[in-house]
Formats: sequence, structure tokens, C-alpha cells
Amino acid sequence: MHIHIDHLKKHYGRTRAVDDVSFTFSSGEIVGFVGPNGAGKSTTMRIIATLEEPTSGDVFLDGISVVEEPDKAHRLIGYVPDTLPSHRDISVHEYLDFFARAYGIGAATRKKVVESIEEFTNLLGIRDKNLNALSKGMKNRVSVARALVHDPAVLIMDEPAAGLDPRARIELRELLKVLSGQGKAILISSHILTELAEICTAAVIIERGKILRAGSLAHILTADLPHRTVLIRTLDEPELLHQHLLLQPNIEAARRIDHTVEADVAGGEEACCALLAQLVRSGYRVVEFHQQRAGLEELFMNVTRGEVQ
Amino acid sequence: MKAVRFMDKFDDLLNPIAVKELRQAVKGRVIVSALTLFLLIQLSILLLTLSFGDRRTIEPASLYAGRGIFQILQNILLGACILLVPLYAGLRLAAERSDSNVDLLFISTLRPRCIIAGKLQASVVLILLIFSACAPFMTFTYLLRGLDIPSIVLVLALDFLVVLLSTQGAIFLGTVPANIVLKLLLGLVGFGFLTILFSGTMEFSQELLRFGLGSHLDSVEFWLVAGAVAITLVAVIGLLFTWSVAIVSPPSSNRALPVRLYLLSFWLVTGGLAGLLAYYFRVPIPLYFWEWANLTLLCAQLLVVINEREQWGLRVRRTIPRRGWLRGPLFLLYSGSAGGVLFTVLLLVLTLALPRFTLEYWSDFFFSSSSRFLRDFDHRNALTLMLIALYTVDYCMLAVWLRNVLLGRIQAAYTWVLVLLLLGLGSALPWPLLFLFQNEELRMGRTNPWWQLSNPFSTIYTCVMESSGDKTVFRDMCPLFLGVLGLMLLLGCLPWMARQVRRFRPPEKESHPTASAGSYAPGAISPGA
Repeated sequence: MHIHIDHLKKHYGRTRAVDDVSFTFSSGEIVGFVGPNGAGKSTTMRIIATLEEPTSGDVFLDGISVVEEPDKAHRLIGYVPDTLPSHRDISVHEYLDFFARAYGIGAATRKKVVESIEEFTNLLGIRDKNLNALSKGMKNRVSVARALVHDPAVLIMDEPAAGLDPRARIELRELLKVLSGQGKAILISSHILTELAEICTAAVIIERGKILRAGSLAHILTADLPHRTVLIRTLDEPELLHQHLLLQPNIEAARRIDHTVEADVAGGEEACCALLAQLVRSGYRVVEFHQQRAGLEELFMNVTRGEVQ
Repeated sequence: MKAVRFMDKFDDLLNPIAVKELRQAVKGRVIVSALTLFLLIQLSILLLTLSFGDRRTIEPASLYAGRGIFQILQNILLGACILLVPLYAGLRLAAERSDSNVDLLFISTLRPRCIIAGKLQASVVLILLIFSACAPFMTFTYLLRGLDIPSIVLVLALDFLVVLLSTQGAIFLGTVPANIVLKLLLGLVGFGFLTILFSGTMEFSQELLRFGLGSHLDSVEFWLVAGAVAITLVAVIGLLFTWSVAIVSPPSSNRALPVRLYLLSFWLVTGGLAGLLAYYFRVPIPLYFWEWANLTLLCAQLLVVINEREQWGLRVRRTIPRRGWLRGPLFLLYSGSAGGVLFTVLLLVLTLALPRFTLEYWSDFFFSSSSRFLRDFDHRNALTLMLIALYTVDYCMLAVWLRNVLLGRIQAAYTWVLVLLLLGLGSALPWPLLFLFQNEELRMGRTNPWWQLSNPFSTIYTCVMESSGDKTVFRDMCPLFLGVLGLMLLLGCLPWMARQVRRFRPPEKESHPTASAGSYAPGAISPGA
């Protein structure tokens, strides 16, 4: 399954909530959708989920347009909104059964489907509890179960971790990894960037409706850096290595940190490779050489300005 | 195995919303408590009536004992149904109609029609449950005197339709997206409507029982009237249903289309029925009912359509036909304010003109020489209807014109607020002006009616109720003036309409990415161009 967001625009009067957003992702990927409040994340997700219509542009799920064929798209999308289910007088099982009916799953298979979803999302123990008696974490699991009931190929999750305690967050993270392993394409928005960085394979950073960065996590975390920072440890005297590095033309700066040396290498990954080769050629016994990566949080702070429309 | 398969198939046919609603109703305490309370009240009132009631009417030997007790039971049944079920259905829907819940329904493959139908079906089951709880007591009344089976059946059928109407009305009010204040106001309006409906139905059914229906079952007149009442009730339920579906439909859909098609069908069917009854009984009264019902609906419709969008989203535009001759009539039916205004004004003109033409052309048929009163009533009725229609058109089009020409920043969705402001201003402003410039005449109660022209209430009263000679010119000229004003306003809005007509076309053919998965870089997220 390939999801192609194609020049999506959504204007509310003069406000451009989403301004020419395009990106692509596929099955098995978990894409973090990151941006400050009011950046256009929820609007984009609601358009993908067919709940809003774009001013122009479209979203294609393996070529199926969400604008032209919303009914077909419904079957492919599982949407987890940022609000939790709060119906009264209905148990978890009845709630899931209702959505299974709503997706047209026949009586012959419905019972099995709902039970397997309950088992998968660890809801079997609370299936007869009323929804309004559940904790936030449990409601969140119900919300994910509801989105999975028709076995969608794409999962759109709008702030699913908001307000969850650490345990519930870890459970959600594990669940997402399993779902990604099953081949589902997942687009998830969250403000907890450290956690997103742990589970996402790719990220899209958006602000004022425009994409600032998009790509695989490894790529966007290193793409725009003016230099690479590498951490080097050898079996030799660290001060010797420090002095050697300072003499190299492509080293911008070098610092001693205990038994290691941290160096800012001008250029990209090629320059890092060249440096490692040069060190080995010079007779240094290198035991550790790794590139320091900026975190998603750091990147987010660098590329966004916190502006709202 | 066959039985299991049959049950599975039956289960698949059930509306998911109805199943959910009934599950919640069974689990919730409201319905169970209300039903138990209802049975207790019924039993207590029956026992109290039989023990301490007026002996002449309740004694088994009395000729009216059955009817008396039936009316008491009907009061309880209708009171319980008309309050409990609509309130339950309407309040639940209003509470559920938060963004998130409605979103969840739309993300599934359920259609808006299915959502509203499910709510109505669940209510029907509850109504039947309450009716069945009443059945043993109703049977008891038949054992007494003064009542026949057809009367019981027909009155119960009428009650059922009325309860269904009020429930659908409550569901409609529940779908209206509003804040808590507006919801409370709507609730009050709904409650008032239910009270009027309850007392009206009770009065009407008591008359029917007194009249005795059993002996009229073989008369054509009886079935004509009964059929007309039933069809009208069902048609109004259908109209409320269509409105509710339109409100819960996504804004990006062509939600006005089913409403306008239904309105047109309603107009035609009820018009045909009214014509048939008027012809059969040789009286114009059915036509008057038809005029009033449709004029009220169309005026409300005009107030709604002026708030509609002025351009179409991709989803709707892609359904606009490319052939010009087909686009013309569809412009009137598709969502969109200009098309809505034209459609409504056209139907308003026909609603006013057709009965007038019929009654004038066949006046000897409808008005016998002795019916001077009816002729006079006909003139006043026509004048009232015309003035209401003209004022509605004038105020609505004035608001549209003002919004477009002077106040470009006001969103189309709030045009109705502008209409209400203008109406308030137009109704209130003449009084201080009269106080300043016509103080003496104001005190004497002899003001020039032209000063009150912007006030529809005063003008309609003057034209219809006051028959003094000095008001004749005003009565004759006022509709003409309002008509010319309406025409000028419509002309003033012509650029606004033309803009929408120009926009009403399918999008240029776009080249979409094909369905081939291989057209995208596999496994890698990529920012678009």
C-alpha cells in the first residue's frame, strides 16, 4: 500500500491551514507527523481520513482518491482521533461489535473478528466493562481497537499518546511496532518527540501548513547539518589523537572528553569515511568511531519557529 | 445450520445504529424505570378512576364507560410516548452530536441516511414497547360499552403517527449543530411543539371517538380525509428525516440535493392531494391548508438556503454534468445559495399562483352564491400569504445583497443572522420615527401606514384586518411596492448569481497518479515537489 499526499491545500477563508503538502509513504512504515499546534497536522489527517475535503489536491491510497472515492477509502483507513470514546451504557465488546457492524462485517465472521481484536489489543479482560468506566489508557486501547476492527491497511493516529501515563505510552509504542511489522502504513502525530523518534521510520515536520522537512528519520536528522560530529576512541593516548585531528584540514573543531575525542568534520558522510581511513592509515588503533546524531527534538527546535496563523 | 445461517442473514440486515441504541436503552436505567413507572401510573389511575370516578360514566352498565376509560388511557399513553420517546431520542442525539462522535460514524461505511434511520428505528421499537404495555388496558376498555374496535385501531394508528412525527422532529432538532444556549432554546421550542401536538391530538381523537368511526368505514369521504391526514403526516415525517440526513451529511457532500428533491415531491404530492380533496368536496379549504403548509416550509427554506456555500468542493464538482442543458436544471437542485434561492422563489411563486388561478378559473365550482364569507376569507388569505412571501423574499435578498455589496467580510453561513437583524431593525425603527415626525397622529391612532412599511407584522395586520376606506390604497399598493422591491433586489443580486452559475461546472480533467504502486519510491518517505 502506497499513500501519496498530492499537493494538498486546505484554506479557511484567508487562512491556509494546509499549503501544498505532498509526501509519500508505504506499508510497514511508521511516519511521525510533527509540528507545533495549529501547524495543519490534524487538518491533513482529517483530509486523509475523508472527514474534510481539500481546497485542492488529493490523497491516493494505492491510486484510490479519498476525494472521489471516499467510500472505498473508508475501508482502507483506520482513524484514531484525538478524542477518546465516551459513550454511556455500552460495553467495550458492544462498542467494537457496533463498529464491526458499521463496517459491514457479516454476522458469520464478526464475533471472531471482534474477539481477535480484543485479544490483540489486550482488551479481553475488560470487554464487559462500560466505556465510561475506563481509564484514559484503556479508552485509548479501545480507540485503537476500533480503528483496527476492519483490518485497515493505513492507520491515521492523531495524538494518540496525549494524556497517557508512561505505562500506557509504552504499551501503545509496542502495539505500533507490531502493527508496523504486520505491514500497516502508520501516520502518527504527537508532541512527544523522543518517543516518536524511537518508533518512527520516517518523519514529516510541518509548520503553518507547509512541510519543512520530510524523509526517513536517518536522512532528515543529518541532511542539513553543516558538519558531522564524530566520537572517536582509540587505544592510543587521547591527547595525541586530539592534536592530530586539529591538524587535519577538514576538521572544524575537536574536543577531548575523558578517553574519547569529539570532532566536527566538515562535509557529509564521505568526509567521515575519509577521516576514519586516514586515522587507520596513520596507525591509530581505532576501537570506536561513530557519528553523533541530532535528536528529533533538536531538529524540530532548529527548523520550526513556533509561529501560528 | 440453516437456522444459524438464517439468523446471521437477519442479523446482517439490522441497522447497526438501531442495535446500538437499543442495547444502550436496555442497559440504561431511563427506559426501564420509565416503562415501570408508566405501567404503575396506568394501573393506579385506572384503579382510582374505577373506585372514585363519576359513576355515570364509568359504570359497566354505562353506554360511555369504555370511551371514558379509553380516553384516560390514551392520555397516559400519548403523554408518555410524546414526551418520553422524543425527548430520549432528541437529547441522546444532541449529546452525541459532538465533532468526535459524528466523525467516528463518518469514518465507517455507514451513510448519514443509515444513522438517522437507525435512530428512528430504535425509537419505533421503544414506541411499540410502550404501546404494547398499554395493550392489555386498552383491551379492557373494549369489554366495556361505548367503543368499537375500528375506533380503537384508528385512534391508536393516529397516535402512533403523531408520536413518530414528534420523535422525528426531536431527532431533527438533535441534529442541529448548536452551542448549549441554542440547544436549550431549540429544546424549549421542541417542548412547546410537543405540548401543542399532544393537546391537538387529544382534542382531535376525542372528537373522532365521539363521532364514532365504526359506522363510517364504508364511506369514500372518510377514507379520503383519513388518507390525506395519514399521507400528510408521513410526508412531514419524511421531510424532517431528509432535513436531518442533510444536516449530518458531511459539508463536502451535495447535501441539498435530496432535500430539494424531497421538497419538490412533497409540494407535488400534497398539492395533488389537496386538489383532489378540494375537487371532491367542492370547497377550497384543502387548498388553503396546502398553501399555508408549503409557504411556511418554503419561507424557512429560503432562510436556510441563503446561508449555503457559494462554491462547490471537488467532490461535488466532479458530479456536475458536462452537458450544458443538464447543468441548468441541476443548478437549482445542487447545494449552493443562488440555486437554492432561485428554486425556492420559483416554488413560492407557483404556490401563490396555482391556487389563485384554480380558484379564479373555477370560482363558480368552489364558491356557491351563498358563500360570501368564504370569498372574503379567500381574498384576505391570499393577501396574507402574498405579503408573508414578499417580506421573506425582500428581507432575505436584502441581506444577501448587503453581505455581498457592503459587508464582504460576513461569512455566508451567517446571513440568517443578518436577516434577523434587518427584520428586528425594520420592525422597531418605524416607532421612534413615528414618535418624532407623526407624534400627534400616533397618539390619535391615525398614522400613515406607509411609515410602517418596513414592519411586516404591522403591515400585514393593517392590510388584512383593517378594512377602513383610507387604507384601501395602501392595501392595493403595498404588495406591488414590495414585489417591485423584491424584483430590484433580485436584480441587484444578479452578479452574485451569475458568479455562481459560472462556477457551476465540472473541474477540468485532471491527471491523477495511477493506481500503480510502483509509481512511488518504495519504502521511502519523500517530500513532494
